[in-house]
Amino acid sequence: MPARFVYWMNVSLDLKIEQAPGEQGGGAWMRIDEPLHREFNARARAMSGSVEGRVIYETMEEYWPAARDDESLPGFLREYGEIWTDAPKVLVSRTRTHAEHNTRIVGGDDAIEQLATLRAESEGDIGVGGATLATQLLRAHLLDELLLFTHPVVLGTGRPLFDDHDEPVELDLLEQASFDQGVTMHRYAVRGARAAAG
Amino acid sequence: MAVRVDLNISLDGFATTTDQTPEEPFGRDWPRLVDAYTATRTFRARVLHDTSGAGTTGVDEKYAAAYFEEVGAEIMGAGMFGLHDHPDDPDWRGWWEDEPPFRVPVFVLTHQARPSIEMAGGTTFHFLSATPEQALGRALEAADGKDVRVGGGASVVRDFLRAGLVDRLHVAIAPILLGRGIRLWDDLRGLESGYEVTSEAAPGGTTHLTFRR
Repeated sequence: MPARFVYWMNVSLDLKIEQAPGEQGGGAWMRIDEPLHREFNARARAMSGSVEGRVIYETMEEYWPAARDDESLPGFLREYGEIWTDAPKVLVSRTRTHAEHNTRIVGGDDAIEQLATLRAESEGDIGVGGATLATQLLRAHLLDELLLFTHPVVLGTGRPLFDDHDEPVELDLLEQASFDQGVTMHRYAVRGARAAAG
Repeated sequence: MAVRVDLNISLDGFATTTDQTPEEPFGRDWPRLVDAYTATRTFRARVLHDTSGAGTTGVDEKYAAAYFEEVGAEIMGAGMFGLHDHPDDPDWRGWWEDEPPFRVPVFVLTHQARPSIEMAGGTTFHFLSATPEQALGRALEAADGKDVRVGGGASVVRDFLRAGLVDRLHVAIAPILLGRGIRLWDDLRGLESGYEVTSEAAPGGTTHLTFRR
């Protein structure tokens, strides 16, 4: 079985991922309490790795390795710090040449094809971080699933789940769940993803 | 008595599709958007007059049945009545055929003055040039204590939402991304405040989202 690329994102009811530019997953509109974060931890731990765009990678890199040992933080955050730092990661970047924390860098014009090879030769679920990268993978028919945590707010404007994508994408619901404060989770399979051999 | 809306939208919020052609007047995306609703027993009986009892009976059917309950009057845009296709034909009776599913007074928003049309089954179309508030006033009067539905299309629904006139918004979110069309949510930032928002998933993949106040 090849790996599956799973685009994991917190979204609003109107499928926006940021209200203001640069929120990088920290928007105040998200309702992430401890039980929800523990769900994130469990799902992150179950993944075989992640591929991340540079912007989101650098946001994570700045916070989570240090969070691991920060005694002022609650245990569930320290735990996520450990999960993120230890997990095998691929950083997709044209400019970075070095990264720590179990991270390999993929860059250049054939980055997406390199990720296709990674997908074909790996196993399990690989998390996809960052809308720019997710949009490129969707266009290349390499995105297998959406894992959306929907927060009950309408942002109205802001960055959408995918950038400038106006072709229909058909989905199949695989799993759904409800959490406190009106947050819901939906996991969808993307129809038409490339077969692994391709 | 409440003002209610039911709408089918895509996961990314689009309530219309854009791929219509003369050969495929509904396009291919429209069925994807509304399939879960049009497959229900209520839709088949009420809209298609299929009395065989065929159709789905699960979560989607529960919402479809509720769609017509306790409605005393309906408001719709000219497009939903079918006026845009026949603007100059004074005898055009809309595209809902002889016995429309509404069975109540229906107020069609248009700047064209037209005489009312009485249809079989209890539906009467009235044509109004009015603001959302004025149209709602007329509809509430006609509904006589029952609810008023704002049927659509998407632009009319958005006008009523922006004016703060809707008490219950139910959207059936289909598992498809469209990327273009008329998006329900634009300019509705903060819509959730003042509403209780609930979500229920149907096994087929539709998510039923309800804003209630």
